[in-house]
Amino acid sequence: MAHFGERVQMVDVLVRQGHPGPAVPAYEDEAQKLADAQRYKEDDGIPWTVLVDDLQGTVHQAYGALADPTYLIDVDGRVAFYGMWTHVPTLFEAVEALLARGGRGVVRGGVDRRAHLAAAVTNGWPALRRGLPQSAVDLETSVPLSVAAAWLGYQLRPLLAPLTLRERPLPPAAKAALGAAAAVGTLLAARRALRPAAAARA
Amino acid sequence: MAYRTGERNGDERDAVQARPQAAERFAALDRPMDAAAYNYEHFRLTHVGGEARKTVRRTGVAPGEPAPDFELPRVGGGTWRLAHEVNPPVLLRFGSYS
Repeated sequence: MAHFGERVQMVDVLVRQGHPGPAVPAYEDEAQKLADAQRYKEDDGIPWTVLVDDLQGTVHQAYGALADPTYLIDVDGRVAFYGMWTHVPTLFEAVEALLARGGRGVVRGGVDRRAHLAAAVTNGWPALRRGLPQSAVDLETSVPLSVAAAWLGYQLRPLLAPLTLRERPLPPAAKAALGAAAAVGTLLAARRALRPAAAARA
Repeated sequence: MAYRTGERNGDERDAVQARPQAAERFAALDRPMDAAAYNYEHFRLTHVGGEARKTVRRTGVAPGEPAPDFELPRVGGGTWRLAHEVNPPVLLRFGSYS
C-alpha cells in the first residue's frame, strides 16, 4: 500500500490464510501467524505497524471478515471511510478529504464497495504463489481463468502497474481518455465481430 | 504528527473496561466462525460467494460508528491498542499472507 506519510498511521492486521497450500497451510496456532507476519514485514519491507489477529480472527470478524478491507478511522476513533476491497487511489482521496476537514467525520460517502479487480489481477500473484500448487487449483476451480489472469497480470505488471497500482486517482482528463479509448476499442471489436455475419448474409 | 494533541483518554477508564469492544462485537455476531471454520483448509466457491454477499450487505463497521477497540500483538514486540492511537487518523488494513 502507498505511503501516506506521517499524516495518517498505516496499520496492517494479518488474518487467516486466504489461499492455503502446502507451504502455507491453514493456521493452527498464533505462533504460525506471528511468523508469517514477521516474514511479510521483512520480505515486503513494510515500514509501518504489522499486527497479528488471534486464531479465530476475533478482530477481523468483528470488522466484517472481508478478505482485504481497509478502514480509515478518524481522530475520534470513528469509521470515516470503509474500502471493502482496498483501493489505494480511493483511500488516498478519502485520507485527503478527512485531513482537509480536521481529521473528523465521514468522508466520500463512507463506503467503497467496488471490487477493484484490476489491482488484484496485477498484484495477486505473489500471495497466490506462496500456496502453490493447491492455492491455484482451488482458486481455478472456484473461479475459472482467475489464476491465468493473475499470472498474466503479474507478467504484464510493468505495463499495467502505473494504471492499476497507482497511488493517486487518475486526473479526470486521463479517465475521460481511457473511457473514450475503451469505447472506441469496443466499437471496433463489435464491427469486426459483426462483419463476417453481415458478409454471410449478403 | 500535526493532529497529536497529547491527550491519552485516561488509562483508568481503559482499565475498568472488562473486554475490548471488538471482542464484544464478535460475541454479538449472528454467525461467528469458530477457529476451524475461520481457518479454512481450501479456498472454495463458497468463499467467493461469501465475499460478494458481505459486499452487497455492507457487512462491517458502518461509517460514523465507533471503530471497535482492540489490542493485538505487533511484529517486533509489544502490543498495539487502537484506542491509544487514533490521532493522527489510522488506516487499518486486513490482509492475508497467502
